[in-house]
Amino acid sequence: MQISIISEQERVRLAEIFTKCIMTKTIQSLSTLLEEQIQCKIGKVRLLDISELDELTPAFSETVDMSAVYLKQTGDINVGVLYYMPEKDGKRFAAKLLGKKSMGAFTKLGKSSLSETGNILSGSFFNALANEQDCKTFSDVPGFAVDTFRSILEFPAMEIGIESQSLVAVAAEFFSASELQLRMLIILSPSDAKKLLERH
Amino acid sequence: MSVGPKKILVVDDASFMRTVLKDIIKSNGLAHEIAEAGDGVEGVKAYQTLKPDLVTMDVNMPRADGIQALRAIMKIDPAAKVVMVTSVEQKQIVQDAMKLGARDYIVKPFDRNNVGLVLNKVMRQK
Repeated sequence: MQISIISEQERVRLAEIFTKCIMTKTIQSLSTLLEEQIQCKIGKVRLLDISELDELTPAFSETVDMSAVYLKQTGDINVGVLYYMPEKDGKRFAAKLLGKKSMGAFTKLGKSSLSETGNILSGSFFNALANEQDCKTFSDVPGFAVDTFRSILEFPAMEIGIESQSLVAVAAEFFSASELQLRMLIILSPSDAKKLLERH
Repeated sequence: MSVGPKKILVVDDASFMRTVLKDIIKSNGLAHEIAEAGDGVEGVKAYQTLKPDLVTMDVNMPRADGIQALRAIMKIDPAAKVVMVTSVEQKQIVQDAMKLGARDYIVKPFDRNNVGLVLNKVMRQK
């Protein structure tokens, strides 16, 4: 299968679209959920060969397990969104959502709180994307996991990138006033990235 | 803001969202009894059994979704007070639900004050 090349100009345009959606809706939703001010840093849009997944792995994640929520959106385009943070931060995050001081082990309710956070953030992001690009998508049920980042990433990366053997990826980091950090990784195939750009 | 002894049924597949809604309902003194259901099918069954004064109904759920469950509840009781729970700005779904008889809607993530106001307003409707 021939890789659909994404030009630098297309990557810049994709970055503009994703940034606008995140800054207008996703941050607002996260701020309402946590009842805190949120800052955000959004990385560059990258085109990767499927064998280069390690390039998406944050340095700190090699030695710690991650708590993660994965959602796949299908419809006009297919997009995978992975929300992740170190397991201990995930417990702090869940405790905050549940109005508790701390969480020893992930309870069913704690897992549900993180899954629902992924659901809500994706809902707001894809709603913004629908408004921005007239691109309608529907969300699958969120999947929660605690594992190494590489193991967590493998399934969505293969699911999205298997056909073209390549991925378009962009990462965003959210920082709350109480020092909670959440990372969001958006992945889509180059052909879906092109479809997204063509919809405007 | 208390409206006396009332029953509210919270229908949502996410236990976290049910917990948050129950907390808002309790803190606003809106009900003396709060029941839960984890999907649309359970929600309709619980409605028949409990005859609650108000239902909060998530739109996206496995088995019967919120719109299917709303339709079933309105068939059982055309005077049912159902408040839909949606993700951000699902305008078309909200419009469909209102046509089917939903009284109002609330949006996730919840603004606790707004949720309290909407549920209280609907609870007081005839």
